[in-house]
Amino acid sequence: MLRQKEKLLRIVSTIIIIACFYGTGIAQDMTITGKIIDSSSNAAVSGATIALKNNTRIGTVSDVNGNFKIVVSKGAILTIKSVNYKTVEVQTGNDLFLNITLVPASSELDEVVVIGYGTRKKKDLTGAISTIDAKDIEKSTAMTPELALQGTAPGVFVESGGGDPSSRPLVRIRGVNTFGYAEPLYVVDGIPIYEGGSGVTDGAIGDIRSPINIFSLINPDDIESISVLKDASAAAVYGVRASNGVILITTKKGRGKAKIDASIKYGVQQIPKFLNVLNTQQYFSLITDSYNANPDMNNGVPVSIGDKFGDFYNPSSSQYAGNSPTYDWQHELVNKNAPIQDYNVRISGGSESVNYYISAGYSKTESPLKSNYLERYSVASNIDARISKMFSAGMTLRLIQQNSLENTQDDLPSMANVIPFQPFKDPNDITGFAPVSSGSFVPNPDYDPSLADPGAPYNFAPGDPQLLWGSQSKSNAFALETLNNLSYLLYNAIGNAYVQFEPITGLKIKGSLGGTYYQNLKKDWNNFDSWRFSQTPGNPYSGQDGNAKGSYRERRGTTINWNKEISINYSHVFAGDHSLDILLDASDQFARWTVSDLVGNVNYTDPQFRSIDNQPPYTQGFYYILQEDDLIGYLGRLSYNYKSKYYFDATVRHDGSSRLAPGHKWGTFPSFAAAWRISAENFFPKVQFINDLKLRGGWGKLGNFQSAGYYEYLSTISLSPDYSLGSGNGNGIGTQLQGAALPGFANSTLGWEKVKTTSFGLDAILFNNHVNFTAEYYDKLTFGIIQSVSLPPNTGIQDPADLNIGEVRNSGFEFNIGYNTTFGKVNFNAGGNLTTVRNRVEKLYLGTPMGGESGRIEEGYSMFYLWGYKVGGIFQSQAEIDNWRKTHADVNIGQDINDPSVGYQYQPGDMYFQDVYGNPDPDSKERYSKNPDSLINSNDRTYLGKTIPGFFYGFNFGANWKGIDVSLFFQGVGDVQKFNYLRASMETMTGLANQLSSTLNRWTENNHSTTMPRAVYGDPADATRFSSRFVENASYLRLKNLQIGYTLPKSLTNRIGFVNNFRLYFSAVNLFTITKYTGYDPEVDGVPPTRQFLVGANLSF
Amino acid sequence: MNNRKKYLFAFLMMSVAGLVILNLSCNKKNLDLLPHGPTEESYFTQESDFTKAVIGIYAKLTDFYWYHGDPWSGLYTIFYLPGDDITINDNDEFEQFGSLQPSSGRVSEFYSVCYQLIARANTVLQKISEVPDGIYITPNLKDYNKGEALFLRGFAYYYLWNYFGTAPLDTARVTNTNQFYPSNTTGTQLLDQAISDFSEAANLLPDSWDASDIGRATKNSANGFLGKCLVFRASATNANSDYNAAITAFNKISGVSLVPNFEDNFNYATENNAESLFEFQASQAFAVDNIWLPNDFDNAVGSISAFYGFYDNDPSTFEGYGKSLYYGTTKFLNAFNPNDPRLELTMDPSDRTIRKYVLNQ
Repeated sequence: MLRQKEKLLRIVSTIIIIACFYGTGIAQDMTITGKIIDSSSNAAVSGATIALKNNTRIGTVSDVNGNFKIVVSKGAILTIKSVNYKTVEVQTGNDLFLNITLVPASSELDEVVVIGYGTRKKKDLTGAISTIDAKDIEKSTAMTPELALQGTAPGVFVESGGGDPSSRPLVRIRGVNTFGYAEPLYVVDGIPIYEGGSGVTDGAIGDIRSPINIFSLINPDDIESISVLKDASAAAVYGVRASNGVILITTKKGRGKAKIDASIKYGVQQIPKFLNVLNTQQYFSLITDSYNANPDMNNGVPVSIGDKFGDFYNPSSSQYAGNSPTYDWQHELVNKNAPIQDYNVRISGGSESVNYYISAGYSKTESPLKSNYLERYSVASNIDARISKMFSAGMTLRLIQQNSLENTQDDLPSMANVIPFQPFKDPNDITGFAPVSSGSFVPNPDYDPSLADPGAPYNFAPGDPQLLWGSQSKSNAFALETLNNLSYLLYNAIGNAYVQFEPITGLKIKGSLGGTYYQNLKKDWNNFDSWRFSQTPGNPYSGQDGNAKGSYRERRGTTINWNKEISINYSHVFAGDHSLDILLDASDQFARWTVSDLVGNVNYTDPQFRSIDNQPPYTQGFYYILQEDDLIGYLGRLSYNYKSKYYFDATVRHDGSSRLAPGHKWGTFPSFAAAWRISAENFFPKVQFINDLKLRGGWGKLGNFQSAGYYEYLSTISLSPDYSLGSGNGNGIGTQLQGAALPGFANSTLGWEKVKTTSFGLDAILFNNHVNFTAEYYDKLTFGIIQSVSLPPNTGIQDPADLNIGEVRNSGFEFNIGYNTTFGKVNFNAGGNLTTVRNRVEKLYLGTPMGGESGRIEEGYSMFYLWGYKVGGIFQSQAEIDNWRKTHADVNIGQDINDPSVGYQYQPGDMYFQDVYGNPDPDSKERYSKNPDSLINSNDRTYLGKTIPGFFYGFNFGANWKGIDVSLFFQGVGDVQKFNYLRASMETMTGLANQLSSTLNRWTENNHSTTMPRAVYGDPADATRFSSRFVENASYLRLKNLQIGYTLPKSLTNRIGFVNNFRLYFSAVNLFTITKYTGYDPEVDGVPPTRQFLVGANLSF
Repeated sequence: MNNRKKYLFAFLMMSVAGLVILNLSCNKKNLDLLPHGPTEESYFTQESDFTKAVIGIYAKLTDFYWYHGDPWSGLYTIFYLPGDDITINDNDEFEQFGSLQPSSGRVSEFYSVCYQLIARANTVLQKISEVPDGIYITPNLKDYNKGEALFLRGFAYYYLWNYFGTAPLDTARVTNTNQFYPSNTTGTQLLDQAISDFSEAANLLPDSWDASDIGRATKNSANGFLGKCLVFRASATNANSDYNAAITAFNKISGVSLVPNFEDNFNYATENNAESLFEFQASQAFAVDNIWLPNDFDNAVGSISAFYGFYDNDPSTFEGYGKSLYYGTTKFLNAFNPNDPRLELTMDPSDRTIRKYVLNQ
């Protein structure tokens, strides 16, 4: 390489010298041949134009091998131009053969961005698009690609799903559009991904769909770039599926000289923070305080603590546990230094006729909690072939197998509140773990195997089962991990093939067929013995004949998705100045989702025999779900620009869906955008500090395909009504007959929910190309949000009906800034982005608020806000109580404003709540009166905080010097609150569960705390109600990634011979988090995101 | 090719391809997918679908008589307590009236159940009006089913008029959002509809049913209710023509007589007897008749009984259900001639607890 370059330099300089020497000589025609190559890959550059600088009529084009031939006069200056390369000029001299190296145009402006159905130079963009490329994706250690967008793409809010590698991050683009389906559309290499169950992770559908994140099916290492289409003008090409934004994933392709890239990554993960909980002594002191403050009474005499809670709590009993050791369940659940590993090999290259890319990868990430990992094997190929001048074809295919173990039997918070004296190990038990329940069995006299439901052959003996550690006994997760097993086996295939016909330059007709196949097999084994380790032991003999060693469930979900598409694209520059690009497209996507479920008993413990084969005769099988969907879309887009100065784009998409009623199946989604590159105007001053300036704006309409349920326009038949006929002649019962009814409202006018977006932006390149800056404003109104509402009773419709009612508005600003410069030999770059979100619910059915206290949806407020009581304070003295009771009464605890002797009698140390509002005026429609009424009741619940962050941001710094590179990446969110469920269950001091160490600061006679009330068993003051007590600021700033790398000098790699490039690095992920949130992590508490330390290497051959 | 030809060619190619797109690539019929479970679209294609839908209307009657009827206090109390025969040893909004509020859960539930019954009847009437030939095989069954739907709808309108007076009138199935808020009726509009439904039903219904179908509405049922409604309307409007029409209707009732044994009217085993015009067919769900679950819950446990526990002072059967005892008023007791043999069968004269329904439980 080096030698070649030197040679090239020598040639070029010689040319120049000779050219100068002969520059003014007599013109003399000569035939010059030459070869044009790419500076980075040394691949031939075809299609480059070679022309005389002062007479462009004399010119030629390089052939497929980069070769050209031109007849010019000696000393003439040649201009060599090619798309994506910087233009060079060469003066001809004596050499008849020219080696010309083109350097790729790397200017920010010429960067090519993937838009929906095509690519475009950054300077020509009119819509709002964020992009990240392979460099950003490489830094993310997650097995799923969405996490790479966190903090790197303005407008894209990403919340980690936590440390469980199978969990799914939450992605919301420019606010949260709806309380319905709010997930963006993912498009991988042109195939819109369809997921059965539409991304639901909770409720019955979520359980059927399983908690697995389908996006881990794409190996992030195969991704070239991710583009996020944020506004209607960018996303309208996806019409009815685009209202929540579109994420375009483009995978790597081969180009240039054949090469092999390999990457290796290995690291360990830790849980950064644990909760401090009480030890056994502190626990018993708390329970004693708490119970003595409010003991049960028996005929006026307090019941002793031992009689109330059992012998473990009775100081005079031999079983008293107050002096037992403390068992740390939290740390026991942790998978210490959980490994994370990732290996990838990519082979790629290309010639004029074929470009190819083949990759294979293996990746495994263990959860920071025991018995949980995600393992992935992936292969992928991208092949493009130019068959003839007019025809080309290509195919991309990726195959993935994933094994996911999801056998962690509990999460960290529930380990923290285990009673501290309950042990988890017991060497005397056959399993080595301490049992939680005991019991013996007696034969069941009613057992009759001849019946369809034979009953259980044995029942628990009377009085059994018993919990061994009292009523607060905790299931032994560690024993259950070894006895039971829950895993998923996932297969995925995703592919697309196309043929393109280009009859004349600029006109491309492309047909493609593609699809995905995704299978998720859940395998769940429940050991017969597991009842002994459960806090809610059920009869293990129920539903079996007495021989079963356990039950086994297989649940199989399969999604197929088949996409046919034909598109025509014509682009041409007319008269040199009018650039036109027209796209017409039609597509048809069919999807089917099926779920089947089989469960039964297995008479063997051998894991080899966990199979449906071994389950008769008790196997119960049923098809849960079979859903089909079809979507047809027609798309037209016109893009025009004049001299790269004035831009205009118009897009219209016409979509039809099988989900809606005939007559309402079709919707039209238009969008318009315009841009003005002011800096391209002649009047614009040529100043160094503004290199490029563009204003842009757009308006459009999008739909939410997933918002409409399946066949909501058809009434389902309910066969549950029944009536009896034929009673008489001494038979009073008659014959029960099944009836039929149509309990639902067949909403034949139901449509999708839709979004109208308006956005404005400004792009600038400043300070001699050192700074690029983008500012954007967006305003989106979601309307016709589908609400499931109970209809007026006079309709006679029993089931809630889906109606297009709700409206939500999101608006905000986005800023993005990048800076790069060179100080001597140090290259330095920095960047940052900030997005603000203002979310408001504007309309609901009859204005009625929805949702619970932890996620209330109400007109005029941010969606999912926290709604509850406001803490007044803690009474420090009886005088304070008497004073308060003169003017207030808390109805929730039975108090009466007129009679202080009624209801709960406050004691010093009790928490009280504020009187915010009053009872509603019965003559008005208001839900509460704005005027406080001295009474504390449910009307006093009010806004406590919002769960949609007001802003989020990311910023980064990078520098490299010689072979060393350092980068830092910070990410954070702000203006957001969270209800801390950990404190809400572990600072209550009202029961037997273990509590946080913060309760050591509780109010006592000697410690007049103003934040932590006294401990009272049973919570007579209702201090644990949903209130501001547990609402915390959940803003955070994380050092998301720190990376230090070293690239071996070429001299060294050359000596190795076949190695082209070799970089070693160390990186730390989530090194620290600054937050006021007191739980495990402001993002996820159950399985918090991990701190990771990794080493890795990238090699090219 | 010169440029103009090139553009022409490009335009031509795009037009051709555009036509291909519109006509071939996407068949709009692909959108006509249907679910893989029964919906209205696939139902009502055989006779039994219709008979089931009619049974579904009858089934709604259960909600009026269901012991723990939503909201757990039972809708039958609205029939009994406002009268002067039955009282309760407890405060009840329908006994004291002073505490009766528009927000009463029982009132709104009664209202809802009436309209749910009407909605089921309207659906059946719509489907019968659309049924093609050849679906109904059994002779006359189509008319009978239509008569049953009309009869049951009339039953609901009669109660709506009686208890709510000016509630909205829905004679067509609600299929459109603009049908959600109909205006209230005036005068005897609801009763007029009930009378028209009963008159039409009386012409369609059979004189009697086979043994296995005993309990369904007959001509007598319709004429009985028709007469009753006419009397009600006559009392409201003082129209003599209605009284006359009522007499005509009552005269059409045939083949019935008083039962020799008074108690047969209250014994569940003889509920359908010579005295019956129309009886609610109380029964019990085949698995367990769970009185906490409505009929619409499912076939196995959803309650289809009318449990007379509220007359039963055996604490073991209903103490846990938290209901107060219903018993006869003194006025009711005094209405009996002390020597009337029916008195002892109806109530215990010493404490006025009702006997007749619970004698044979």
